[in-house]
Amino acid sequence: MAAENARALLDLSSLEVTYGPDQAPVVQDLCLRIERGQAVGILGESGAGKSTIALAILDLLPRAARRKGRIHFDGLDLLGRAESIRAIRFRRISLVLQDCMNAFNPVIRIGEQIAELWVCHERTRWKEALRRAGALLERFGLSAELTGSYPHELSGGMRQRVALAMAVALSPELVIVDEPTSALDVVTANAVVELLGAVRRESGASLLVISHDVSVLARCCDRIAVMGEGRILEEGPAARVLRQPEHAATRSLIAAVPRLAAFREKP
Amino acid sequence: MSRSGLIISAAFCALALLAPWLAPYHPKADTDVPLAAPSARHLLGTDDVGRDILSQVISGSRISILVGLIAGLAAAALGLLVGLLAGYLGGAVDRILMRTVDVFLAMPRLPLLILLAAYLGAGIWVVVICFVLVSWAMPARVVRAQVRVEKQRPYVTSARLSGARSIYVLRKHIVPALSPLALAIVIMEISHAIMIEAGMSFLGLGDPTATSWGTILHHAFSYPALFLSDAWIWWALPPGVCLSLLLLGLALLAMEVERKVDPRIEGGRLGG
Repeated sequence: MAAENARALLDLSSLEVTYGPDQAPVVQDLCLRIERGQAVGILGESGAGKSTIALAILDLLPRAARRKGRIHFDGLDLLGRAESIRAIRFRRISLVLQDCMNAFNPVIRIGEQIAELWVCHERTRWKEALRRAGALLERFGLSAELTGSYPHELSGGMRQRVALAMAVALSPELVIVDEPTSALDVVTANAVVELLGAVRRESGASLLVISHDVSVLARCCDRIAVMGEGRILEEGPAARVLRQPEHAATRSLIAAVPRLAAFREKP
Repeated sequence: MSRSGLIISAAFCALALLAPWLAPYHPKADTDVPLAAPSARHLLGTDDVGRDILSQVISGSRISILVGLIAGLAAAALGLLVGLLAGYLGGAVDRILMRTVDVFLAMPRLPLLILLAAYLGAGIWVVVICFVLVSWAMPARVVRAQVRVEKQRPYVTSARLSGARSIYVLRKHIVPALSPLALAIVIMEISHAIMIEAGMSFLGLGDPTATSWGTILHHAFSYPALFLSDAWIWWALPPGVCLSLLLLGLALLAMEVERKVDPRIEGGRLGG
């Protein structure tokens, strides 16, 4: 690649994560680069260590967990200077958690939970922040009036949209999305995948999408890394990985998708 | 019926606040012949040195409620703080704090109180300190368990990943979620403190110069011939009845608060 020697936005090398002193590593010898503006997908079955990578990047692992190797973000060593991670979280790297639709405080209105981001990070006034929260929701195809609602008044798909909207609220350079569609019906999942494309176009942020669903990654990623048992099994441009999978695990994940025809080599 | 706890508690607070105006005599004034039976001048008669018992009972509510409030609030505050720290920080802090709690929970309450009071001397502040020492551990453990539950909530992880400091997470998410529990703990501790103050005063471990329900009982029971006449009916009974009524009122109030803040308990029926 041309940008091989240029600084990558996110550069993971020889990353190893263990969840306790005597435990086998959940992630080992993992290398992954994400360039600016790129969308990279991590594909793998449950338990492959996909979500652990996301948590490791943002230092959100349980206290007993240990990280080794190198996590460089835009030249910053995230493993070395743990105390500065708060300045990175959400401002420069945001993460949409796997169960993000349940990640709202049930007794605080949606608008306040969004506006809080600007109030706390940018010292915006509450009134202005609430107005911006409404505008942000409208950009994501939701009504601005939802700012006055409590989380339980929204459907799962709507909450997923709100979570995605919050992830780009502070214009981060990298948005990590963990299993964005796992709890959604097909139609809503479709809309969320389209939304991911919109997020990228609108904010210019790089995307790291984690999923076990090939069809999701196929539609929103430039490159795909396939994980199994804590390692990267193969990595390459999305089209190549999906059409000519080199690893047996990739083939079985692709075979698991009902609509196989979409990825078959056209005659 | 649903407000009886609030009404009883408020009535006793009003009694304590307005005591100097409501009591017909000064509680320590020698007003009449000793051991006078109830009459129009002394509705509850007089004690063995001629003090008006009604005035003593009315004034006694002040010490009982004041000590109860101070000691109860202090014990609840210490318990809440320790529970919050242990539950939220976890790790070594949790282990050290919880082992300390275990030690305090294992100690027998009443003998420890008597021992402490005997060494520290009698007085209101001794009662407060003794009560806090024996009563902070239980709420600490209850609060710690609840904090550990709240800490696992997805929105707490979300708050942390969006850059919130621990102190912000505590203030915004965890403390508000704890407030119903905290309110119940505060009421429970106040009612315990009132009971302990009465018990210590009754045993002669309270402030001997202050008039509280416990000291009235102490004086009454120190009088050797208390049960040889009907004097106990107007001397020992009223402070005991007041004490029981106030504790009942606080218990009802705690139940009412619980019903208000916990949507699962609707109309006295416990739902899943």
